[in-house]
Amino acid sequence: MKKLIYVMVTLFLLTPVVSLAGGFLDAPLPPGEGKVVSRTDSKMEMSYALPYDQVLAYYKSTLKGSDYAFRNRPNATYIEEYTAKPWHSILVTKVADGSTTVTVTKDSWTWIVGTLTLRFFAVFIVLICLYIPLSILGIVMKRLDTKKAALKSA
Amino acid sequence: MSPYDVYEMFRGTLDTMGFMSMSWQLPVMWCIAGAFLYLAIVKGFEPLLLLPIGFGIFMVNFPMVPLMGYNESTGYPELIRAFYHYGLEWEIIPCVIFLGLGALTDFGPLIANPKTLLVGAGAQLGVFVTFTGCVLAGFTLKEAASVSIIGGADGPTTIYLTQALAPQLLGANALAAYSYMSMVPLIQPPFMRMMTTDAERKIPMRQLRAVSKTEKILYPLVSTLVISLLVPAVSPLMSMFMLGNLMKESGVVGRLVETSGGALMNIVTIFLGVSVGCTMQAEKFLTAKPLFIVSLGLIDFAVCTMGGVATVKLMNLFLKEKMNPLIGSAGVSAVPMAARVSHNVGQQYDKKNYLLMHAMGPNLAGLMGTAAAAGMFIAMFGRA
Repeated sequence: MKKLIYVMVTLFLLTPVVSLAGGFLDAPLPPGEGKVVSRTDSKMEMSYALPYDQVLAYYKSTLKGSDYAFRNRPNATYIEEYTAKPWHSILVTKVADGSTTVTVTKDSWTWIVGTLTLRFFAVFIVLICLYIPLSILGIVMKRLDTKKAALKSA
Repeated sequence: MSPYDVYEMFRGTLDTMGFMSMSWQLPVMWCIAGAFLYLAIVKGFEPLLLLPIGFGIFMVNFPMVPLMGYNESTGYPELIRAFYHYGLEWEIIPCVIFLGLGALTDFGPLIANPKTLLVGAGAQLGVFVTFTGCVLAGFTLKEAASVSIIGGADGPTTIYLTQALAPQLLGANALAAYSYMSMVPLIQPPFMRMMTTDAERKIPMRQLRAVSKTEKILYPLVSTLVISLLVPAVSPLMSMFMLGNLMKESGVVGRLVETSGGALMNIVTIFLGVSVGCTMQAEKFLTAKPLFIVSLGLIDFAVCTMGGVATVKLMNLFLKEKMNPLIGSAGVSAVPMAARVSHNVGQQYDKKNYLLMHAMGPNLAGLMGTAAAAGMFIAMFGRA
């Protein structure tokens, strides 16, 4: 009887953890007890008493395929998803005390429009970088041609 | 032999015949193939590509044809699957086509007036606007990127990007891109007139300066340097383009130029068209997405046209010597058709205004701009 009670209490205590798994914007969360550090409608940060490598291995095994990009950062990995899921990114950060924080961010039009605008202007920058040497080349060639013409007429 | 044995024999023979496995979608695809063949043969719209694409659609949409699968006993790819795998999945065909294009291109008008590079950048507006529209319509981010590049009107870049990000949309994207490219003379003029006044359409442009051979030789080297440093993702495509151009401008490898711009390009064009056409099997093509892509492509082209014209008008606010905004529409890099459209529309308002060579600058700049935009998308989303 006591054992049954222990099991039921344990299950009851684990329920929030289980329900949190995929509970925020359907994002996968590592198994284990995570402590919610902060939570808003668009962002949730959780802290896990798990090594960074273990949490990262969990995400690499869960989020397989070309629809997810893993970008390395100093002491962190930024995971982006490119399908139509409610979450846009998961940031896994190594903390100095050996724990790991997981930050889930909601998909937002701000990111889409912002990155598109940036890329649109980046196309201009690429072509301006080509324009500058071409203009310099044109000026140099024009001066050379003027000198040649002057020498010929002299 | 019993009657049952005879029946089984006939049944077995019939089972190997394709017509026993017909479905309603197949005749629909035959009609679609027929439409593209009609456009290519009768109307002369981009026949070099629409004819093999159209026939590819036709030949793959039969039951049990061993074209796009894998041989059951050997595991080797079947005929068109082999073309597709080695040509498109390995991204060889688009790069070789660009080699040939480079060997046929004269960058003189662009070098003579390098500020038209900005017009080529402005004409990519439709790419980014359409991306937003695609995401709203339910496409994934990678699919949206591959569909939106259609507006750049650059077939090999569209194929290169689509294969990298969303290969499942290759057929629909390529078809939309080449179909709309052939319809540039129909699509662009109304938007060009809408965006410009009578006075602006008559702005005369001074004859371009002469461009020396040295400049034409240095240009591919400078372009490769800049593109490879800033947008390395698209370097395979642009490097091959500039290699072809360098071979042409050097003047010392005439045979290579002749081959790359002639026979080689024709060979890969055949393989490209047939492979792309054969990806359009009924069960993949007759869904909402490919049909939506065709309509989005039209919006893409329109916004790109408007983006190019708007860029010229914006530049004119700062330039002493104004540019005719009609050349802005040539930033849609359907070379040289878009430049010809700019010239023809300009001629309608002033017979003495020869805009063709001036429009070639933005036309070629559009190629660079589309490649840069494609490189941005590949860098953003990685590869499939």
